Parts: sequence; structure tokens; C-alpha cells
Amino acid sequence: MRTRPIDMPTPPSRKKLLLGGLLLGGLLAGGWAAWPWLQPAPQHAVVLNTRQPIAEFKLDSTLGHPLSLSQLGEHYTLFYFGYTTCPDICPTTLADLSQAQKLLGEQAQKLQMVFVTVDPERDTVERLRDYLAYFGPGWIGLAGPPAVTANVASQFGVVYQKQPARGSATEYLIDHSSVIVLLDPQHRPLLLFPYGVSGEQIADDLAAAMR
Amino acid sequence: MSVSSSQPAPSHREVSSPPAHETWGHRRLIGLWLALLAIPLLAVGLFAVLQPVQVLPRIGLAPGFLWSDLNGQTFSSELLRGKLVIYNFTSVTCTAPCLDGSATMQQLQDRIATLDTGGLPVTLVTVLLDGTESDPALLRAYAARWKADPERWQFVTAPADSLKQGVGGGFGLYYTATAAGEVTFAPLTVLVDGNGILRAQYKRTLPDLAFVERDLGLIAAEVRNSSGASGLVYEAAHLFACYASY
Repeated sequence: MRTRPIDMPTPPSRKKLLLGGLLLGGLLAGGWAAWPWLQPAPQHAVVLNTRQPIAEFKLDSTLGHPLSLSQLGEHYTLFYFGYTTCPDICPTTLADLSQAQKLLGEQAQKLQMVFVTVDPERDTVERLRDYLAYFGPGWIGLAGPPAVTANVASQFGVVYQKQPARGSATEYLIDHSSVIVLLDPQHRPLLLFPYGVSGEQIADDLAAAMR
Repeated sequence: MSVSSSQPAPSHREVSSPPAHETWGHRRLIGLWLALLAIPLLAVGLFAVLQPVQVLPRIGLAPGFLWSDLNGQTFSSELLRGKLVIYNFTSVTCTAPCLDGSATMQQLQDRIATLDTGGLPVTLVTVLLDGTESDPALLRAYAARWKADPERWQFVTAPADSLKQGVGGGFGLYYTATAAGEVTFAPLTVLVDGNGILRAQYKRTLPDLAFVERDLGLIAAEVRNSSGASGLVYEAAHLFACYASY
């Protein structure tokens, strides 16, 4: 057998350490950069992912005190604009969102759901609280003066308008945008769910977005 | 403390050496692994540097508004979902040195007819900052000067408070109006995509039509490639801020 003398193992040279460090750093950077690609993309929502956050606002809340956007903390926040005498779209959407919240399981702890009334003349905070109780415990209701409400809604791209409803017990209805907007913890619009997306579909996309 | 030893530690020892071809094979295997790891890193690095795909930033949500056209019909931002929209803001009182963007809009009206946007409709909207408090005949006369095709180009306005909220708060254009009705503003043209996301703002001067056309094309390409693997590439372009420059 051929034998030869070899040196005792010596500590790796600085050059090797540097190379190893660079490689590890590169791997970490690559992993960080590639991580969003590895996430399943939302299938049913429109990706907004905008740079500008929603501007700060403060409205009366069902928590019993005025609430500002920043006080919602570092949750993902789902905003829906509607009103309590809304005959069809609002209760259907709220039921879908509550179902989505249940389907999310523990992940729902990262999520806060917020309902903003576009009918502040009739929807008091008490009325909002009673209404939202039908859809589970996870909701915060917000109401404010008409001008402030319009300003907040506009920031979310939401519009609404009174429509007289002759012969209706509610006197008037309100035509309104029926979109659901998810804000990330920095209050930047992240996803937009159009009307008609089911609770399961919303849950799937929320789970992917909040991972 | 010094330690002495009667048996000096051997500086060398005799071991059996692996065959040369095994060592070479080991090195090749390690080299192969490193190369495999380096490929995605290199690809990510090259993507970030070379920017093979360019996109427009997703600046923010465009404001929702409920304004009216010059015939008093409601004109809502909801009507514009699914369309690429170019907004400009002006006043009937805008004469030199005020920069009136309506001439640019008129040129755009002609050019978008032949522009390939992948079937995405393009709508031009001129917001008259004079407001509904102004004489409607004056507003209509101003719009008539530009020979707008109502299928492509709309003139809209609103009560002063609603305009201030939408234009000032939403589009970020500060303007002032005197009691005599003279409006002072800086030129602003804005491009909003079909999802209601603000994608480009051409500020302070009238936009270069070539840039506007390029930006419409970039959005059209992004929409066309929004699904599957190409969708991931476009998301990566957003991630690495591969933004078109001006």
C-alpha cells in the first residue's frame, strides 16, 4: 500500500472562512429573496401590495371608545364597508367573512375584521354592535360623521350613494362598493376580494397572505 | 503555565491515502453541489441587476369618488374598474403660463386608438377643478374645445368639498381656488390600472407621450402575463423594484 506523510488537521484559513461566510450569506439572501415566490399566490383575490399605507383616521367603535387605524395594532386587518339595513349583499358578505375566520383556525389570531358603516346617520355604535353579534365575536364596528366616513371609504376606493326606496321600511337604501380589502400590519392594502368570493376561497387566500 | 512532555507530539503520522481518483471524485461532487447552489443565487442576482422584466410600481389605491359628468350624470370610480384610466386635472381658467394638460389628453385620445393594450380598454378622464359651483355652460364650452370622443374621454367635476377630498386627499394634488373662480394648480397626470391601483404619476410638467404609451404597454404586458410561472416572474420584478425609469 502506498503511504505518504500528511499534515495534522489545521484550522481553516481566513480565506476559507470568508468564502464559507459569503456562501452562507448568499444562501440566506437567496432564501429570503425567494421566499415570497415559494408562497402560493392568492387565487381569488386581486393582489394590491401597494407601497402607500392607508392614512390614519379615527372613528367611533363598538369597543366603546373611538378607535384609530394605528390602534388596530400589528394585525392584518380586513375592511368591509356596508350598513346594517342592507338587505342582501352585506349580510351575505359578513357571513362569508365569518366563515373564513373560522376556517383559518389559529391563523385567525393574526387577523382583525372591521366593518365600517356607510350609513352613519342610522347606524349608531349600539346598533352596529347588535348587528355584528350575528356574525361572530371577531368583529369591530366603526361609525363616524358622514364627511369623515366618506373620506375613509374613498381611501379604500369605496364609494356609496343613497337611493330612495319608496314603500320600503328602511326609507332609503345605499348603493355601495362591495369589496373587501386586506391591509398588512403596516396598513398597506395587500389584497382586494371582489363580491362573490366564497368563505372558503377567502380563507385560502388569507392563509397564503398571512403565512 | 508551561507543560512539558517526555514524548514529543509527532508532527507527522503515516496514514493510508485514498486513491487519487477518489479525492478528485469528492472534489467534483462538492463542486457540483456548490454550482447547483450558485445557479439560483446567480439567477436572482442577475435578475436584480439586469432587470429583464420591468414593471410600474403599485403606488397606492386610487381614491373612490362619486362625481358627475358635464351633463350632470353620475360618474363613479366604480365605472372604471377593469379599465386603464389616465386622469389629468385642469381648470377652464388655465391659460399660459398655466400648463393645461388637455392638449396632451387630446393627443393621447388619438394615439390610444392604435395602441396595443392587449384588449384592455383605456379611458381618459379630465377632472375640472372649477367644481359644480362654476357656470356649467363654461365647463361644457371648455370641453367642447377639445373635441373629446365621449367613448374614450370624459370631463368630470364635483362640488368643491368632494373635489378637494378626492383630488387633494386621494390623488395628492394641492390646488387653490380664488373667490373669482381662478384655480391655481401644478400639472399632474395619473395612470390607474383596472384594479384601481395608482401606477404612475407624471408630476410638475406635462407628460411625455412616449412615456405614457410605454407605461400603458407595461401594464398590458403585466396583465397578459399575470398567471402561472410568468406571473411569478412579474411578482419578482415588483420584489426587486424593477421599475421603469423616466
